[in-house]
Amino acid sequence: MADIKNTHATAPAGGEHVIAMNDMNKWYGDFHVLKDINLSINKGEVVVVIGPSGSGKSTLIRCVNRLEEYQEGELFVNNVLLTDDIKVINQVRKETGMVFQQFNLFPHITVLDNVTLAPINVRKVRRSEAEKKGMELLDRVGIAEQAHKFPGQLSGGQQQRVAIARGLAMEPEILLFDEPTSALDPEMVGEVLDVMKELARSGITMIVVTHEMGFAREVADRVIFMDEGQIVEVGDPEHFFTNPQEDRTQDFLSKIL
Amino acid sequence: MIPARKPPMATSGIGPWFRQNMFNNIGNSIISILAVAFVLLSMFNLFTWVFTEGHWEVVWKNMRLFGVYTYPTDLLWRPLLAAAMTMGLVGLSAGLAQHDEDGGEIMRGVFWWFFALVAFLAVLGLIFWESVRFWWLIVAIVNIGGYYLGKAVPQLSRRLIWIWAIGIIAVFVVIAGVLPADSNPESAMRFVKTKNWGGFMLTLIISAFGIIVSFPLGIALALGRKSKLPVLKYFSIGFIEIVRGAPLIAWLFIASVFVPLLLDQSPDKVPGLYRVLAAVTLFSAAYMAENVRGGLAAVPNGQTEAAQALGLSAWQNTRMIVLPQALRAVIPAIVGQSIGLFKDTSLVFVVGLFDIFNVHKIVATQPEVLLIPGGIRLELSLLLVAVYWYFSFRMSIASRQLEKQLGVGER
Repeated sequence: MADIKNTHATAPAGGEHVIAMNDMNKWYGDFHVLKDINLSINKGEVVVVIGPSGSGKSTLIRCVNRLEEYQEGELFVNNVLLTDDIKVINQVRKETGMVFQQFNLFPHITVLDNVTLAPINVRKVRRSEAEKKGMELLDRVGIAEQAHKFPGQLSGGQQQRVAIARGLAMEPEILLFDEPTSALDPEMVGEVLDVMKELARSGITMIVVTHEMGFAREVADRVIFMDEGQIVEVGDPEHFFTNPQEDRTQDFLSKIL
Repeated sequence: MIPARKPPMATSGIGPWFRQNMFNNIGNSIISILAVAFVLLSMFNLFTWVFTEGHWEVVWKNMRLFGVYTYPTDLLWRPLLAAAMTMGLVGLSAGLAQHDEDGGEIMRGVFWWFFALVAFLAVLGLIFWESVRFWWLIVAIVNIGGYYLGKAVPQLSRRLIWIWAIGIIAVFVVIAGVLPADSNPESAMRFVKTKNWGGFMLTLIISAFGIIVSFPLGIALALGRKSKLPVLKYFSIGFIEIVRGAPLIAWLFIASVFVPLLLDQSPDKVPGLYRVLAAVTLFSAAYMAENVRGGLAAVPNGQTEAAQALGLSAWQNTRMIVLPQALRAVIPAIVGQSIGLFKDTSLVFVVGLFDIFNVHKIVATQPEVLLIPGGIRLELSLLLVAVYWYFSFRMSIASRQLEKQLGVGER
């Protein structure tokens, strides 16, 4: 196999870096899953990460809110170095929201309670206030009328939209999406992508791991292609989908487009 | 014109079922008839015995022993006052639950089940039991009064846990008394030694204490077993595995020498009841821990990840996300365990306590009973079965209802 190039994905100049990874490395046991990652992201940027399974894209974004720890290098979130310190971790988690492939809604409480749980218990917002805000968010993702149902009574697409509202409820600066549409039936993908597009235009910083190339092309500021734990190529969508430079990128895109 | 025909033979319903399954050929018909005849005959024999030959008068005469054992006769109002308070609390909780869309039906069922028993005893008391004539009636009135109070005043639900806490302490004080035994032998609130506690009262005290205390203890052990702190983890594993490695009866024996040793007291200084409570509770906690552990394992890791991503602390995650899901997954196991504990209290005879099970042996060996040809073992066994069944069966119904209800709106 041809040697894979390792690229620095530096954010465009002039922006304020909300995430910066410097020579970040991670291993699962002996398996080197992230190799010398150099990536920075500006406030308000929408970055889409694509790549084959096992390339480390999910691990990359899970490092940002410390669901995974890295072993070498540095990772700054909002200029704070992410360490083992639980205070730092909690601070970073307050500033980031995450949407999972499997939704991971809490099945034993209502949709509205899913959304208000963290504001009430982590930010100590008053319940009445949190519920008002929660209803606004549910309205924004188009499922206010389902607020008092349980997650299990909703379709996959609706559940994922609740998960997005839940992530927004903490008013994070950064939203992380880990393959948000991969577990959905095809006809529900659109409704979730619509919500994500609306969010992307609202100016929140987003890192999206996805296989939805249409989404990447439409709203991404930058697209990052990863393979075997490295950032292989980075560029704006136009560059990426019309004129990819690396063989590995061309090979991957030719298979999925 | 087509002439009207008879409909084809029905293929469902009771009649056809019998035709198809029990009388479908000569051999099966004969077996069915013989089986039915055998069942009818044995039922006839049983009922004949129960209604004409059983020496129920002996059971009847010893009702006080079955109820409270040697609790002083002049103080019988105290256990009954305690029963009234407990039933009041049960009624109150059930009444308050009626405002709650979830728990109403289950608690209503439990309440009426208790009330039926208490009302039955109230009638018996009014007619037959002079020494406690109106007390069972009071228990019944407080029971149903609590229910309607709860229905009328929903605001009480905020204080329910405190009402229960105070109530339980009050129940203990009323049963145990407040003054030392030798201060005034006539005093209404004089101290009653635990060795005089017994009968079904003791069965209920041990099982209620065991169930209530072993539940949080079991959760703590299950969480401890999953902890990252080695001391906590290996203590929990060691405790659970050692306790589960021997039968309850062995632990009851050990408790009767071990607890005094730990407290550096001579065995007679620590009443048998306390040793038994410790043994039963710790034993049950070990099993409870394993039940809860099964539930914890059933909660997907994604739940914890989602909670972490939202910034919930480890403790908030455990309390609000993981435990509620884990516990509802193992409700049947937990209730099964509680039923088991309730019945296992019959083992306390090994340390010389007289719960309702042990009382039956005393009654069976009373001099006048020994004169009865064949003894009265069967009568006593039927009584025990009826009493244990009445409560175990209701627990099991409640468990099924709870399971069904918690399943609503999930998955």
